[in-house]
Amino acid sequence: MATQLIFAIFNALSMGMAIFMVAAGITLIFGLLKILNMAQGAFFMIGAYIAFSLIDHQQLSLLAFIGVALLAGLGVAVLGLLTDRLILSRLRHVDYHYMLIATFALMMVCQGAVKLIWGVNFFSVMPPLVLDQPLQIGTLFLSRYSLFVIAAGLVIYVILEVAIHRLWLGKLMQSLASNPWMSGLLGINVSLGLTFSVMFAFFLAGLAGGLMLPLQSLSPQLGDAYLLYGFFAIIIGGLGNVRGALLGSILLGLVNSLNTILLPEWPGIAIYVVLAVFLFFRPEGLFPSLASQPQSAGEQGSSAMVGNKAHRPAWMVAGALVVVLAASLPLWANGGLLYVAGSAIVYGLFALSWNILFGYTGLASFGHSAFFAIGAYFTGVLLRDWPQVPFLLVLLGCAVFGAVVACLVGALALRRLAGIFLAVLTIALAEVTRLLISYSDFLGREDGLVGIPRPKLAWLGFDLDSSAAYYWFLLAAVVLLVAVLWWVLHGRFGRLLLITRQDPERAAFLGVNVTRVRTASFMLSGAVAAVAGGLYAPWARIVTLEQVSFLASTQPVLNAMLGGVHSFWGPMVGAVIFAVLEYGTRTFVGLSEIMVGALLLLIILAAPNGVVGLWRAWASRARTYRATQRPRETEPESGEPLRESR
Amino acid sequence: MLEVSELNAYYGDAHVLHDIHLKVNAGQRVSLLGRNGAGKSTFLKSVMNAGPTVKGEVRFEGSALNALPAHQRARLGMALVPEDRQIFHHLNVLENIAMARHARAGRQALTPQQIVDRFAMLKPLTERNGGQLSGGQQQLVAIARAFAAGPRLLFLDEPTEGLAPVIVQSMADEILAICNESDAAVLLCEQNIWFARACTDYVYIIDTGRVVFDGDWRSFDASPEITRKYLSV
Repeated sequence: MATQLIFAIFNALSMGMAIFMVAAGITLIFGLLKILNMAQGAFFMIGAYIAFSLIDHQQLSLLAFIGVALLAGLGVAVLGLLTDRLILSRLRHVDYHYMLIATFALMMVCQGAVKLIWGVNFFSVMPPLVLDQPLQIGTLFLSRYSLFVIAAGLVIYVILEVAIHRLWLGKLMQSLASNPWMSGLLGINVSLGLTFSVMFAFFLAGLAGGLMLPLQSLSPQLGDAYLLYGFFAIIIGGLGNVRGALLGSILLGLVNSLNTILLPEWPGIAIYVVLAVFLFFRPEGLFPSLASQPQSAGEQGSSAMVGNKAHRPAWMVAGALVVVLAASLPLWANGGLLYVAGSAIVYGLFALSWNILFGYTGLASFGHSAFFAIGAYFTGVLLRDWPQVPFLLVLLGCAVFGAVVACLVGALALRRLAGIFLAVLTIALAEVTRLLISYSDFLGREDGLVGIPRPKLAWLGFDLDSSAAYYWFLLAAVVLLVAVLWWVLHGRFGRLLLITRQDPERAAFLGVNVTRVRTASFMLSGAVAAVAGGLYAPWARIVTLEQVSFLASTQPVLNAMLGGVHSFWGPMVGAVIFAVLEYGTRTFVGLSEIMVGALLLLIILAAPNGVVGLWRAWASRARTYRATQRPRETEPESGEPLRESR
Repeated sequence: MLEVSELNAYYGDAHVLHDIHLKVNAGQRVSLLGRNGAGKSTFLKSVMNAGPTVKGEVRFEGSALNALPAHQRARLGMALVPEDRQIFHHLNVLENIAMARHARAGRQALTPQQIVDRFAMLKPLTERNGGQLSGGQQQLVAIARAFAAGPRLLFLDEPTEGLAPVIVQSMADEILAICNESDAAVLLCEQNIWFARACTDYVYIIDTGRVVFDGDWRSFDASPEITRKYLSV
């Protein structure tokens, strides 16, 4: 028993240190830049792949192994330089949600790049020479390599603590982080300092990737688990705090170790329970950070959700034409095109549900696929096993299911620092949904649900078995839902959401219960996403774990950003544009992550208001141009002084 | 030393400063007076390129600064003491002062310890963190910090705000003494005419973003309507 206990603690420590090495980089970047770097796990993975390419199936000596890990760290630090110059430094003054989305997109790009360069196969690397034999103490066999990982984690921790709290460099960095404006006035090159600190955090990620390469097999999924555990560790420990990250990591290691002993058939679940408990009882973490939390900069709030009302009749005609065109599709399009169109309609609704949260309420979900999957699996199971349940009731069930899950997650995440916590918790939700589905025979484990039958609308006498019939039903249902949502979001409820987005504090002063409004918005969003999933299941007739992947969660973000998050219709427009793009480039398989990620990055950097935003800017420029044409001839000085003289 | 001409500053679409001309000679002490919101702080930030969008020319020691970033202006020897102090809360008094040595760029300057010795009130506080200081103490630290860079030109933004008169007197003496020793010029933004008169020998008055008067104190006194029109509350 004692041996078992020591062994469990040993395993907990080694896992905890492994998590810490990733969490340290995340917490550093958060403390300095107030960015939750979603791509940290991906860069950790790239570090591991670089080390793998350098090692190449040899067994190295310990020194050479450490050297390789340092090289991997340097390689990733160079990527950090690029990331900072190309992406992060350009987004320092916009709302932090855009930064979150940008790093999320960067993660997708990294994953795609890894798949492209190294393939999707699993690789494994042997520990270095001295460390490959176990260490025997009495009857106890401990892995020397795990001991090495624990020692490495401790060394990194000590170095960081000394550097941050004792060395001038650390004090300098904290000054930069807490007051960049005054730091600049004192002669400090702020931009350079921030770039260096980003590079250092990336170096840590790459180094950790190299050091921990022999700990597990290497695959493009490696980064995901570490990213999540790293996030959890810093949430438990307190954001932006190295000591908290260490304790949080070790705690997670312990929990996971106990999980394997006590609940071996549900590996990896206990961590989520502990996280939920922590968020409920101690949302500020073990060591609340003194550093201020990110504030929503005003940029996001400045755009109105509503376009020019005078143009509404014209747009209604255009909308009616689009619906008629969409309804006529089954009459002339082939099966493939019809499938793409039907999926685009569902994804449009899905993106719209995401934008209720982001565009209207100013909160970003990065695991929205969880709601979609909940709806899809719920519908799939009911249609498969209880076809007698009326389909509309099933869809209603989806909505309720989605809303309840959203309410639970919201209760944990939305009480305090809404944005950051919601980002992490929604990712966690997607991951835990994926885990639960993959452990359940009932839900088809890794294979998913196949051959889902299409429903009948018994009381209307419709059989939706044919693609055309179901497509028409889909179209009608989405048009109806969108109409209801339009009505809800353009009324009192929509205005409530908008004022909480624009200025939560002032909204609270006006008597708005911000937390409740945000939770309500999240529930509506979750319900609509689940209904979208419910409509999707009989359309595709197959639902798999892919519906809960990161890629699936990025889809609504991309569609909404592409179309324009400051417009009700933006997400639908984006879904259609993306469907056309995807249909046009469907021959390039395997590029989906890079394409989705890169497109998203491009939009955030170049056109953060999407296609609808570009259209509105163009239209308003055209209007002002027409309006100022005549006065300008007589009075050339009128107009904007700034633009004219440049 | 400092020559500002045709300076216009904007916050977003708001045009805050209009065609400002201002000159500070080497070692000269100049006041910039004006009411709240007249544009005094914006002017200092514009000269440091730290905030507003700026058009126009700023020359320092003969060379045009163009788009030079704030930290490089600081290294040239321009030191701004902002009105809201901006002390680093996680650093103690001595470290706060030492932070400004990043702008020294090889110039001769007092060491942080020497500076603390000059400001008697700071002596017992050297180990205390910035976050634990009172407003007046923070103001002193902010001024002391500026000297650690060995500035050629010191911008003081309402240094007397919120300070007890006794402290103001000894602080002014010390500031002027150090400036005399190092031959540094001073541009003082104030609402307190008495303090400005005690420290400086030339006056600019700014009102709603425009310079409306400049001259020495004698010509200032010769036209009492200026005070009534632009400075009285």
